[in-house]
Amino acid sequence: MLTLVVLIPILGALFVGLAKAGHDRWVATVFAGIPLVFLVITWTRFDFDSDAMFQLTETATWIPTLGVGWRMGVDGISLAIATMSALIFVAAMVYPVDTKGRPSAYYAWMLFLEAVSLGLFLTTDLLVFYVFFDLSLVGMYFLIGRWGHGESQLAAMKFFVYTLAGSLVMLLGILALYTATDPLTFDMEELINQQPLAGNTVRGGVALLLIVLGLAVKTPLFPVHTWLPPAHVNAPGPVSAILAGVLLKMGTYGLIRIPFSMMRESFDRFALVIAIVGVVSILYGSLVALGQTDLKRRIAYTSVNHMGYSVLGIAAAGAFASGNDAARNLALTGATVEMVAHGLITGSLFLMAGSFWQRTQSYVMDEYGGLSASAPKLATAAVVAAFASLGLPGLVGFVAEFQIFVGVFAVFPVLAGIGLIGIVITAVLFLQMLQKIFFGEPAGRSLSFADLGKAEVAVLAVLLGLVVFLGIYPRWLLALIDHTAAVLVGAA
Amino acid sequence: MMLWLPALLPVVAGVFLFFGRGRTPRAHLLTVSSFVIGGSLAISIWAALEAPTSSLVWSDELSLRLAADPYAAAMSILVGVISLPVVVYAVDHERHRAPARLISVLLVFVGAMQLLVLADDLLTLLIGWELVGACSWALIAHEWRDESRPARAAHAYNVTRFGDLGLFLAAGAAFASVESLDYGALEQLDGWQAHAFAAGILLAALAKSAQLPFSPWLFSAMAGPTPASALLHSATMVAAGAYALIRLEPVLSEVAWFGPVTIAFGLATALGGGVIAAVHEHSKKLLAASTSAQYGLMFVAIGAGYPLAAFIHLVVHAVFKSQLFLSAGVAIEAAGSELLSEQRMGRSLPAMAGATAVGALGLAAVPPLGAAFSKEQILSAAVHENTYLGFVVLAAGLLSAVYAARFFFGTFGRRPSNADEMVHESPGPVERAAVFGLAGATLLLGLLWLPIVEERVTDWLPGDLAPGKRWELFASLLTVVVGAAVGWLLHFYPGLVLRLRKAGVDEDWFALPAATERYIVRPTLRLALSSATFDDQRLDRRMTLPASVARSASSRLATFDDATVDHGLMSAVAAVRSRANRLGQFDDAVVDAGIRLVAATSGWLAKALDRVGELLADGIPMGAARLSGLAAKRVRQSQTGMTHHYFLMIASGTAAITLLAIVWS
Repeated sequence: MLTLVVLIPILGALFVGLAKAGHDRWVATVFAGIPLVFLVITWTRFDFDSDAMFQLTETATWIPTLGVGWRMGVDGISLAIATMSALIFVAAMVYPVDTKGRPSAYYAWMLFLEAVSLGLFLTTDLLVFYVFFDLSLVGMYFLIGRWGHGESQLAAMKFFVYTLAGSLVMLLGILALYTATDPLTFDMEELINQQPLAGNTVRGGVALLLIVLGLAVKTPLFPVHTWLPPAHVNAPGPVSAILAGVLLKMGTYGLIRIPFSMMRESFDRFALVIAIVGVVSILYGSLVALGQTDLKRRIAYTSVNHMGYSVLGIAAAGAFASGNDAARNLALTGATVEMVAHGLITGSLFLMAGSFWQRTQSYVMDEYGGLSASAPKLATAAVVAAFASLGLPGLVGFVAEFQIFVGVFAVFPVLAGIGLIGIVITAVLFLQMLQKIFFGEPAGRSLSFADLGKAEVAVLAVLLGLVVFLGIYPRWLLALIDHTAAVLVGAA
Repeated sequence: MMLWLPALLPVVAGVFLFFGRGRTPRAHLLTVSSFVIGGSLAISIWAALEAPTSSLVWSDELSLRLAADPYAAAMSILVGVISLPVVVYAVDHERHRAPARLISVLLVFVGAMQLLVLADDLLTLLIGWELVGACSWALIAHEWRDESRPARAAHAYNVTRFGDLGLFLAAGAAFASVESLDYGALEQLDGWQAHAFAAGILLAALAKSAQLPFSPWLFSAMAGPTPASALLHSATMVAAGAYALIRLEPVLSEVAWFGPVTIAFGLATALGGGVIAAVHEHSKKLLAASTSAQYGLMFVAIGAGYPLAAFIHLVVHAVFKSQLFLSAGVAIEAAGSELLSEQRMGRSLPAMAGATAVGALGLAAVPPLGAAFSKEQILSAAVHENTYLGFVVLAAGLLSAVYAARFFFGTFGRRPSNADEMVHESPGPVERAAVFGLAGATLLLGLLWLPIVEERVTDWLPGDLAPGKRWELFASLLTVVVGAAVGWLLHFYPGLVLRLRKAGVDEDWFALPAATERYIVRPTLRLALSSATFDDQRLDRRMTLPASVARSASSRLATFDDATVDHGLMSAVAAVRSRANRLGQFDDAVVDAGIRLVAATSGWLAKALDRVGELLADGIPMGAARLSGLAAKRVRQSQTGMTHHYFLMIASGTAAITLLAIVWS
């Protein structure tokens, strides 16, 4: 079934791209929706009592001499992120967008991107992971370059080259890890059990830094985040939603999957360094976001801030030698919830940004004002999403940030305290954004601004409804993630 | 499960009302809100009798817990009792200003406060705490078309959110120390975590209860509608800070510095707020400053180790302060002005004046009102700690009599004649009922003076009252009389107030807002702007440095190739050709055909080499240069082929790396 989750969007991409049957948006939505259904079914079949590392595994040998195989399987963390990603893809397909007269190509690339993204989260083979990691760049490159606006070619190229350089660095690290296995294998479960570089201080350290650097570009962390703003600003709204909601998660998910799990000893040694980078990203991301005058750039930089929280949580959870099992478990669970939360919340914010572009072709906040009068639905959705993003309780972002903070505080109290300041700055920047765009006497581009249409309302209602539901009652999500986090953290 | 209802009912009703706000008639608003708050009040009373607990499991580590501890139940009842008249008043008073939206937010606000009050662990407390803050933002920004109101709402929210960090800190410290967030587990706190916990809770409480240095946010909150202020200042939001300290006092008082520091902040605010209220010309801001001051007195009692005295004062204060705000709203509507000097509606609205007098007497703490009883208890607590502390509390009491008198004479005093008194808008029946009801409650609280009532209260609520001394009562009576006289003087001789303001008794929190603006807000914004520029211009350039190095290297390589390699090759070919020509001239007849063939071949070779060489030497580096350097123009022209090239390079790079890694291992 997990293989089908990857296969169906691929088939969908071929069908939409080649058959030219029309109604591309809705055909694509159906193809994108099937994996979501399958993942929800997988969720119901997930065995919470099992102590297997991966469940519902599917294996086919591929290149046995190199230890490469088509291996699929889920644990709580990957299943949570994959399900959220599938949902974001469906939302992005349904959301209206200007496909510049080439809808079939656009939706085909979207389906392709869905296949490789879900494949990345569901595979348990490190080489397949890497291949999907690179293929995701290709899909995103074309989506930004061909359907973007403004300097989209340039932004797409920058995105591509930057993240590709990152992924090559990561490949180097992966190979250093791989070549230490005996017999040679890319099987993640084997790699986790073997801890191939344990006891090899120098090589373990180098491999860890290479992999972390590669993933940091994708996440993105300060100071290797500068590809992000142009890519977001020039991409169409739904593509931005996917870039932020799904692609950024590959960085943090990879961090948990590879260095955290497979190189515990080295990770523990560098946990403090990674945590510091996380805290710097939290503060820097929020400050730079506050300095933006462009709506979409502002949202883009908050991603640096939010992913910083996630990395901080992962780093604290990976300080294996510090004891504090309960707190580290909390931090890792929080970091994963942050990925899901950021996907839903920032995904919604970028979709709304897309609605702005569809109507006025402008992201400049000062050109709006009093928009609540002409677009009350958009205003309501934006207020909910903004408060969710600044971590208001009752919304899922708080569930993540609270756990991260409380967990990290037991391990790195000073860093946790410094990171807290980011919570205030995000509040300032989102309230300022709401105030500039939605309040005051209606003026400028607000005057003839059409409120959200039916499809837009439906999509945002589902995403933000989940944000509220998971914020009040996150038990199912936490049970799933906790199950795996406890294993990863406690097995030191 | 029932215990969730006091919080859940108003929140759910508020959300439904928000989405159905377009089609809800005013009569329905009145029914729905009174029914919802009444229902939740009934459950609060039940909870006080039964003392139930309840919990909602999030995960193995986290649960939300509620418990009807005596303080929690009493506070929960108070929230219901105050919010009922205030919300009902709002339906009438705000009829021209989107009442449905206002009521919906007010209901959520009340529900969030109930959650905070009934919380039995730090997570639930934090959830209620932050939701109350967010609702206050929505309330203050209610009239969003006026740009200044959302801005002030943001100011209030940002300040209180800074305080919220204290609760995060406290939760982190508790979990790090005892691996639990339950109130019950906090007794085992010790070490540095205990200090961090106390500091966090105190920070959060100071910000929420508008104590110095956070007090100015309460002035910003005045941009909200009057009923919102009435609620915010009495049983919700501002009350949350003092309530949290009262509820957690047994844990906090274990930390040695907690008492003195809390007293210091409380006292500073009681005096500072008192002075500001004594000279302020804006009726609602006078009340706002007095709120800070009254909460300052509660902080003094908590710091002295008498949370029960603080709690009684909190209850009494909530009743008369909510009423005074509603009265102020009536006076503002009637006079069409927010300035004390332009109101004085006593002649036209005598009944309203009477009710307001009751509230003002409460604010001044005149016996036999309940407010005087609780003020006495605070004084005794202070004297018990230190006699000099008692004198300072007396001074704060004197100030409250001053501003209470000024408030009453300003809003509902009588003008010399009723010739110039014109009522713009007189209060409706619902508004009157709300004000009279609350005034009645203030009178009723006078029962606290009866020993039997006092006994019941001390039996029910944990903690003791400090033993009082007889001189304290006389001293406070004296200060009330003197204070009221001073207030009367200030009212009738406004020149005195002006002279005081000129003498530096300023009415804007001692330049605190200006200092915050100058030393915190502006530097932060400047830092944000400069980091944005840095990020855009410097950092990005630095990060693309390798790319530009590669670009310049490859273009130099290309030039080198053009100039040197290519040139060399071409000259070699030319030499071959010319030698062949010479050979041809020399022995044209014999080797003519062969030579021609050679010449033709070398000519072709030269051209081919030229082409291939160009492709190899120029194409690849320039291609790479285009790629890595992001030279915009060329990239745009040639971008489709690039991915393909790049993947070739990846493949070869991967192969090389693999080889390297295998050799290495």
